[in-house]
Amino acid sequence: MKPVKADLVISSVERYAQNLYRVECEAEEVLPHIHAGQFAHLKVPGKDLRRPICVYRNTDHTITFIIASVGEGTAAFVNQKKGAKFDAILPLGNGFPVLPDKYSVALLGGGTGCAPLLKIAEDNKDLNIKVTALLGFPNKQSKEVYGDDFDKFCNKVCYCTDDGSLGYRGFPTDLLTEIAPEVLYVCGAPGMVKTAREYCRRLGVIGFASMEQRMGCGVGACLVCSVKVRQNGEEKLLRACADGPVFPIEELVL
Amino acid sequence: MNMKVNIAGVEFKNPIITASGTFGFGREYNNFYDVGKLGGICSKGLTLAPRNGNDPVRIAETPSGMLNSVGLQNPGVMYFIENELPFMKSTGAVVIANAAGACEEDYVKIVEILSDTDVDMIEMNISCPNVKKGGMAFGVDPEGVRHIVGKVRKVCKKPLIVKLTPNVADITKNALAAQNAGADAISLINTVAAMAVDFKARKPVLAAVTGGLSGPAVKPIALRMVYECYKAVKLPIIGMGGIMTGRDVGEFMLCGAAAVQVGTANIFDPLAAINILNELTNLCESDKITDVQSLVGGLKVGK
Repeated sequence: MKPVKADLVISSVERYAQNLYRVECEAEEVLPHIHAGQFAHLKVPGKDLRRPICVYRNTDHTITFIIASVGEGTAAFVNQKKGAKFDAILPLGNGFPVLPDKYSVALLGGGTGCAPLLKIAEDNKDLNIKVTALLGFPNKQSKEVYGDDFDKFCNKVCYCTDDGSLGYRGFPTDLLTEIAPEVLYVCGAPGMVKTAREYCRRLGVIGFASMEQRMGCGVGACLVCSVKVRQNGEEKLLRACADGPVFPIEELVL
Repeated sequence: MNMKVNIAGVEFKNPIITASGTFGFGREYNNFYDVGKLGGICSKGLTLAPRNGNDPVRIAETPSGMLNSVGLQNPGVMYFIENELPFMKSTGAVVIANAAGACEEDYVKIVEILSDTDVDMIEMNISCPNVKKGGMAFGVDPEGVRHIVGKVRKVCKKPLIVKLTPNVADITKNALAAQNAGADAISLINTVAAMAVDFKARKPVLAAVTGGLSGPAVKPIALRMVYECYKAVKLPIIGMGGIMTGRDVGEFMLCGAAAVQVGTANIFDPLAAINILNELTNLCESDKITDVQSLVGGLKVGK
């Protein structure tokens, strides 16, 4: 699907926890099909460079983003009010591939990194895939940005919190040994991706991870959002925006 | 209305060219609009062998602009000729190949190779601030410019554009050196050497520490330099530096640019170059300008 410049209107901005926001938007024009793990390059008020944010959920006329306000750009974006208009280039990047004949998959996410994973379960609910989600948060409050969305579309969800206020106290990677998926989808801090890769290697699990990098054009032309990978024994810098953001976990140089 | 411009014998259907390094080889933007509607497309900076470029982070947002430190990542000139040039030619826009090197021999060799292809023009990049060897090292000293351009001129069978760096004391000396060594045109400005600091982390934002500043922040510098060069040399000038609107193009042309390159604007918005072209066309219409070339050097200085 070719990307388009879509005009969006904010229908709600809800704040959860300290800096986590759920932003619901509407589009008058029908949105193109968006795969799990693909992102939108958002115009931010007062900023020249766009901000790449994964698409959490969408319908033909609505789109939802989960955003952590971590810098000037994200702060300016979530400070917009209902009715604010902006444009977004979407869908961009290669999302999470759903492999044929693999019926047991797991999602491993941390904080806002859980956002690109939901669509894997939501979009493929008719495929009879058994989805287990291991999701990590600082506390119960942070998890609330997702409501019970994961519970609706996954077969099993294990919430993990740093302070034990919800579910397991500790990292979601601690629970990897409790499950045995055929495919593991990951989005989170570098430490999480590293641990997940070791797990995939040890158990022969196929893994994919979504990576983040400071981005420019978002469409593959400017070559600034480099992610280091090793392919056929050779180290390469690929583009998070156009070659990724999802990469085979085995290829990543971490 | 005539939007055509002619640079060193090459006709452009309009004065809007996309700048090297911000437009890949045109494919990505062709998903958004017909890039053949533009006057020209300049390729990503090419080297003889493929280059991986610098480690990330390679971009930093700064007031009214950005820094980049890509470091000439490119698939190499042979890959370009085989896989990218046919697409670029098929668009119908003038195709400019941007060529860089780490040493004199590299520049001569790559220009020799590109001379035997159907690229329309060659832009010699002696102004990249992001590589350790070559790049800007050849473009700072006027004598260095004269030397390298002279060597390349001998083997270059295409119209030769020399892209100048603003990181010099007097850019007109470098422009004159390029002219005396046989350049057919000059383009300016490349990015301004700069850096950004993350105070909290006590670190530079870019992994390469320094990078090149571009965007509206550099436009006044670029306008001044185009104006100075227009007075100093006879060569046609391709102006660039922070062009975001059709009016910006008009300003560059008044200062003496025969055409312009749009760079950073493409990064901010994939539709920027075509929007700027449409704005320029509308501007000419509303100002009753029948030939866009009449703007070139039309700046009224003094009373």
